[in-house]
Amino acid sequence: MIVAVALFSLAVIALAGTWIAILLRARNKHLLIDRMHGQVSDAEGNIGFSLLCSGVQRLGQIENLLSSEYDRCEVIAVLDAWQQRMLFEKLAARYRMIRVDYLPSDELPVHGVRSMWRSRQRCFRRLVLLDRPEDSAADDWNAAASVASYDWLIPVRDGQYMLPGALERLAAEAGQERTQLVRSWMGHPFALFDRERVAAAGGFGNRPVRQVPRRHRHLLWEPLFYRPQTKSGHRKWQPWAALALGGAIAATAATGHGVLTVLLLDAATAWSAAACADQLLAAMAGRTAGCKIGVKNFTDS
Amino acid sequence: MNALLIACLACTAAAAAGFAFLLAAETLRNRRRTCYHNLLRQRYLRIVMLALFAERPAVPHFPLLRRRDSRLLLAETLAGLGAMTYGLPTGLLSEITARYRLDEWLLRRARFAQGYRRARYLALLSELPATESVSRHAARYGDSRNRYVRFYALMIALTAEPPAALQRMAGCAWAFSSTEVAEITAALRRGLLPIAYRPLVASASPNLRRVGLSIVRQFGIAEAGPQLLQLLDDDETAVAQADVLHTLCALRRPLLCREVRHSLGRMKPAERRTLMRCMARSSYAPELLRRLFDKNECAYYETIVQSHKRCLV
Repeated sequence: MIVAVALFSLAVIALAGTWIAILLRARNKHLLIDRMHGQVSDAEGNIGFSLLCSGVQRLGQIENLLSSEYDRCEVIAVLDAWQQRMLFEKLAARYRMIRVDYLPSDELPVHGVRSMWRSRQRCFRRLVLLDRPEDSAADDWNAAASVASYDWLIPVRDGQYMLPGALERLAAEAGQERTQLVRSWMGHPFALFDRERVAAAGGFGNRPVRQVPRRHRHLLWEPLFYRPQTKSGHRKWQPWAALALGGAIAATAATGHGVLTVLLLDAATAWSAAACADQLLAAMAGRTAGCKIGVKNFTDS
Repeated sequence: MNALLIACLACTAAAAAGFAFLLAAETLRNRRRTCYHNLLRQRYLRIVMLALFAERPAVPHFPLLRRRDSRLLLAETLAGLGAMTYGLPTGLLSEITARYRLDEWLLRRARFAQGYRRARYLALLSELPATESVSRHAARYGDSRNRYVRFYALMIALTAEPPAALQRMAGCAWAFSSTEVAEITAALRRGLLPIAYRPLVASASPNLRRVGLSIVRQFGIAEAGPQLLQLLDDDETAVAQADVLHTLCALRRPLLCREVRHSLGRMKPAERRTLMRCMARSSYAPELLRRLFDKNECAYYETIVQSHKRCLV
């Protein structure tokens, strides 16, 4: 029993330590890349991003994706104009969309596209709308990718919002040699694909991630996308929970329940490591207490 | 068993205390960064700007410089100012750097740091007015395993001795990535390095050639067209041919020539499609492509071009 508890404790400490070490390293890299000004300018020329949106329900999400200051990016939203008539009309009016010709290409398997629209509103010339019956997300992304202008594709789901500076950060990563896939599980998980890899895999339905060799994959440990959350009240209970846990540890230690004390200490280790990781991720996302960075990007209408 | 339990208790208690301490430190650090650091950074920037615009520029006094991280904030302020402005007189910035020994302090921090932290200190050093002694000290990081550390050690050398820049870039054992070329070009546009594209484009070194092509793209040097076509003709530079073709497209140069056809014949279908998208962004007419690509590829290009138009008839 005691040996099992000891092994369990060791595993908890090792996991928590590794997790924090990885996040500290990611934060240092984030601070370094913040200092790199090359990718913010137009120096990289060929690195452009197409954000492929499937199932978007809110105008605010499209606004957020269009708010990036990186100049070589576009947002391609796939909507069903029959099912989401209101949203489609709102977008068409707000961005002064004009209908253009849609010719299917043989690059990816696409079917069912009814019409294609491009924005002409000044400042928002990079929105493309595809009218297509509601289908799987992979088929929507294939349709969007077939009309994308750029070579790097980011599939976006409903409720997936972009943090300020995310595309600049991705440009620095995509500009590295041999990169074909960039992923992150932090914040809202996302993946950035090399377009040719997706085409070679036969589209998003055929799991293009698996076909990218491991040496060409880059894993990031920092949040670049997020899901807006309503104000949660759990933060104000945290000090009380910590106090209760401390009291329980003291009580079990005083009554001589060694095994229980170790297990409670493991819980305290895991809890403080998780809270510490939360602080590090919040700092990387620019979401610290009293901070008002990128208000426009954090609002959800 | 009791001994094992006691050891286990001690370990878990130490780990819990350690993580709790780290949590408190991170919370304080975040709070400090959002409030105190932002205020101090603004104040330092204001002091530097006032000193720069004064009739008789003199090294100003910076308050709270003995406090923790204040020197880093001052270095970041000076580096940011240098990186974001064009044609700034560096005399006063050099005097501030020398008076407050920012370069020595950053070198010391870089020596005790590792990985990305070391690269960050070196990046700051590369943006401050550099001296040869700093470059000499930073040279030891030229063989680092971390690519960013190696690159910023090179950047310090480039900014400290601009006349030897070409030699140093050519001497690099690793191939520059797009991000690194962008950083070098950004430094070049700030006036830290000489802009002379001809020797770079004609160079046998792939690194110099990439930097040269980036300069041609950035500054829209249309006179470089004939030299770029010569590069396409050269079999030894086959690796850089996609880069050369993209540069020609960015310059909107005519592409109907033997060299371009020859080069396109050697490219993979995926590379040709990437080039087509680049050509579409540069507004090349589909008529032109019919003479360069085969029928299927032309159809692909027409789908891209047509998606920007509306046929009314």
